[in-house]
Amino acid sequence: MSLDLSRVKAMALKECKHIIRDKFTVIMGFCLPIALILFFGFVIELNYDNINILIKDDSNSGQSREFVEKLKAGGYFNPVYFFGSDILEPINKNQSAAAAIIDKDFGKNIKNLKPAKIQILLDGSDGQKAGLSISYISGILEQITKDLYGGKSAYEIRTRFLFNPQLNGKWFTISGLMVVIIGLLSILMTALTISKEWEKGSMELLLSTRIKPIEIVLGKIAPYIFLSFIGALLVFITARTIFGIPFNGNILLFWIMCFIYIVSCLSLGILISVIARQQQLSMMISMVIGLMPSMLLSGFIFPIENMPLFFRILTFILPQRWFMEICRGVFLRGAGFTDLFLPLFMLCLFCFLMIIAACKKFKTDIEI
Amino acid sequence: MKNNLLSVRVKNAAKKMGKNQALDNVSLFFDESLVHGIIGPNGAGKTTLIRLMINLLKIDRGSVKYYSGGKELDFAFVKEQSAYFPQEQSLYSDLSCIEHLEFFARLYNISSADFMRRSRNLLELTGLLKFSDRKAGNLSGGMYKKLGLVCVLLNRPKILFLDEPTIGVDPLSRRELWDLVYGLSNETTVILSTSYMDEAVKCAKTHILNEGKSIASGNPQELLEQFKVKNFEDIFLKSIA
Repeated sequence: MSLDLSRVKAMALKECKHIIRDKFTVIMGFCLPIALILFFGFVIELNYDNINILIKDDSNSGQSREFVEKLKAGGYFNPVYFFGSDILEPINKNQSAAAAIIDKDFGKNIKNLKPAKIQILLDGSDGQKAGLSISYISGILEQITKDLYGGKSAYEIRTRFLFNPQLNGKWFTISGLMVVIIGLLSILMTALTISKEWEKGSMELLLSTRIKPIEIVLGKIAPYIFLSFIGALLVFITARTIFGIPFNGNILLFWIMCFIYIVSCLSLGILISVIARQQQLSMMISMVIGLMPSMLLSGFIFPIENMPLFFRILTFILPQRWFMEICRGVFLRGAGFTDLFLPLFMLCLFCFLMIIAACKKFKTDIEI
Repeated sequence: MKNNLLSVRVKNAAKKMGKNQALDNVSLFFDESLVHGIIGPNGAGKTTLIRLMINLLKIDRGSVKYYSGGKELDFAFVKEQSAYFPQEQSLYSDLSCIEHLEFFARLYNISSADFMRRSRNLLELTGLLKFSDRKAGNLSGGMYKKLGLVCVLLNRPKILFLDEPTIGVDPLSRRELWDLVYGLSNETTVILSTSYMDEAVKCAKTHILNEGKSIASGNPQELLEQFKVKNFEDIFLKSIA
């Protein structure tokens, strides 16, 4: 497959002119990444706080009120006293996610250093919220036990969270969001370029010249690398300044890997465009391929280790999965080249295969 | 000069487009250094035939062979020597005339000195020089077709395919386009299609297609004598009857 760089340059320069003159592409390249990271950065919250919890205080003692105060002080719960007869009713109506029924002898038993009872009811229909609630409550109860009983536990665990000492959920989500946003935009931008040529009729003229598929593909990708890179830089700056995400890795290594990720996603976009030949169809496929795996299968929200075997294997062919490892590794853990060799290798392999597939699938005739 | 020009032989060509038999056993010979006109009403198979000749469509049956000085040529070589301008809008509406020429010059690897000289000549010849900076989307129908022609002529093709170049063009621009085509016929084999019957007599050789079949082929005057009619519309009426 011989390659004439002057034809690649011709294609790239032509594409640059289209980009500069198309306001939609410029907005998509520069403004959308910032808008998306700000929007999703503020909206997506994997931690729960201000969980409504109903308190039925049958004890009505100083100790029970202290327990409620401790619940409130943690910031995770919003305790509301309940005076009705059926405490399950507000949970059924989704007005509250949890309820705590404090035993009438709670205060007395604490004073006498006897076991005191609290019944916790949780809305199990939201398993994640229920799980987190019980873990928050257990932590608070352990603290209360120590304070109220004045005793010490038989053992003491001192926990230190590495790389994210405050377990700041934003650090986790924003570094993942970078992967989602850069990938989605890169796929979308190139997914429209070749289908546009087909729809506008210019592909017929182009195919009658001596230009080869590889030259069209590379010429189409080249300007978008620059545009996507600027978008990635804007997302990076927003993540660092507005959300205060730390960056512990090697900046040069990160941008080299980011470059490979961008080229991979742009090539995937080109492949979609080559196959679909219609802008609307390309857009739909890109949204599905660009967004769904990023959100669901990249490890952004759901851990890959917990997925069924089929989906775990499926994640191997997703560039988002590998760049997610790179992004979180470099940002938070300060991972280096040797730590990230596998993700980097997989990204390079994906990038190469996508370019080859786009060229192979590129039809040099106009047969339907 | 003539030895470098190309001729094409289409033999028993058949092509189905969906359920429609667009071309049915068509055999034609396009000899070098002439203006060939493929004449026929809409749906006659003119565009399909041109697309088959330049390999934009795959032939179902039959063959398309290129020759130069009696020697058969490989299509990869022919592609380097040929140019095609489609019937449908195929230029970039947001690029100016000169930007189109720059793009095609780079595609054809034309040196900048040659480009300057050739693009100026062609723009002057077509009257597009003063519209160099105008975007293709803002050109009139005639100017748009001329720009397309200029783009593909930059490469000095040995064989030129024009699919309905005069469709949607005003009479004056049509005449200018024909003058341009005549000017090329010494250095290029021109194969153009048209559904305007009056244009048949302007070609050195006319190939008549109807409903995917070749009806006749030859010098326009001889064809009129052969069918004993005064114009080409009558040939179609006669063939339908």
